[in-house]
Amino acid sequence: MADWIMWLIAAGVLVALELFSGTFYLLMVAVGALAGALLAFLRVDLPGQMLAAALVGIVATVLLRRSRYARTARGEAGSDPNVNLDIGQTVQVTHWEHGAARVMYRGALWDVELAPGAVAQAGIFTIRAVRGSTLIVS
Amino acid sequence: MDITFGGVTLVILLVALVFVFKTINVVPQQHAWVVERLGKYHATLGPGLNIVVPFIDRIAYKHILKEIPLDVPSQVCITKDNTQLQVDGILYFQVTDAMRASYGSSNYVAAITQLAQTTLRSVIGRMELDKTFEERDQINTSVVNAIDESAANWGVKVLRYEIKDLTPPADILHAMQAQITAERGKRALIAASEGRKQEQINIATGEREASIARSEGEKQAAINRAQGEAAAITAIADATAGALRQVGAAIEQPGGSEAVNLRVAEQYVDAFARLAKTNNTLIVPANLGDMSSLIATAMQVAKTQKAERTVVRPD
Repeated sequence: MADWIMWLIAAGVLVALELFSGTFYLLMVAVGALAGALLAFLRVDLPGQMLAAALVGIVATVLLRRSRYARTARGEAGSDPNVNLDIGQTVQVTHWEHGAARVMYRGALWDVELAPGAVAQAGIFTIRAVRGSTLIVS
Repeated sequence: MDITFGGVTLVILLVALVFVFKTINVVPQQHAWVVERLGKYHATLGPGLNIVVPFIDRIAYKHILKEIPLDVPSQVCITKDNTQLQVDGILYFQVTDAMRASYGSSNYVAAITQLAQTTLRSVIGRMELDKTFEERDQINTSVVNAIDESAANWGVKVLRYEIKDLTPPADILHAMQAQITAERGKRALIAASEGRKQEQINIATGEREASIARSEGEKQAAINRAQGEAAAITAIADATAGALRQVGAAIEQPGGSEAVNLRVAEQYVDAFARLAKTNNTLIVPANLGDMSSLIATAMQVAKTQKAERTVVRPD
């Protein structure tokens, strides 16, 4: 069996495994294996094929980092609505005591703190961040 | 051992594979992965595709941010009135801060479980047995608040604590059952006696009303009868008076006395005739021959009556 067929089979298996696992990195390795198959088809020897596969895999990964799919916005996780579903929700605060309060939210009592610059008055506040189990609202 | 170019490329391929594996991280929604850069906390990876720098970054902790129901093992608590209770509960908690959940406590699950158990023990220790069944809400709130105070730095929020089972010892259960049975029995007896009492009252009231109605009826009947008799007597008296008046008036007419004499004599004879007919006893007047004297006597009576009436009459 020719080398390039071996590489292609490896790439196919990797893509199939990727479909089952959904981890994304197998796809990059598969791209590397395809490069190996291409060089094998062009009659390059095995070390060259392997080198090509390795380099293409690494380059694909670096390119992926630069692509729009990667999360480049490394914001504060505590105020990221993707990390914490409570961010952006509203709570009703009846009264404040030195910038802190205890409010009913999602069927439980939570500690609430005022975000810097917010005015301590009764009303509806939006959750801006979660620190520990304390909601920071404004 | 000679290292060939092929061996080197194989190593490079392996390194490339490891590099790819370690660099690309796809974090599912509601998961948070904590990245350490050279052993120090660096970032929390949110959901989506994350590229980390291999060799210096390390995924140290992986947290699930969903609400987690956690079974709190059953434990024996002692109530205020020294009864042992077997209590087990379920705790709902959620990791709210992946960084603190990684570094604030070595094992937050064990921490909140133990704290829930000890808090529950102290809350139940302040209650009497009967109260524990009623005050579940208060027990739950107390446990949640106690854990909340402590767990501020564990990055974990306890949302709810629910008691699943409160099991008193078998003896106490039997006693409670007996008490309930006795209570029910007591109520049944009371209800039955109330029923009997009401029944007797009803019967007595019925009898009273019946006899009142009966006597009322009898009274009315007697009154009616008396009134009827009175009316009859009055009517007879009136009729008699009318008849007598007519007889008197007739006697006043010329030849009246003679007519009376004749009538009396006829009735006397008639009476004797009837006596002879109806009875087998024969009644014979003392002096049957002296009929004229008898009539004369009767006439004398009539005359006397007449004389008395003429005296009474005002002229």
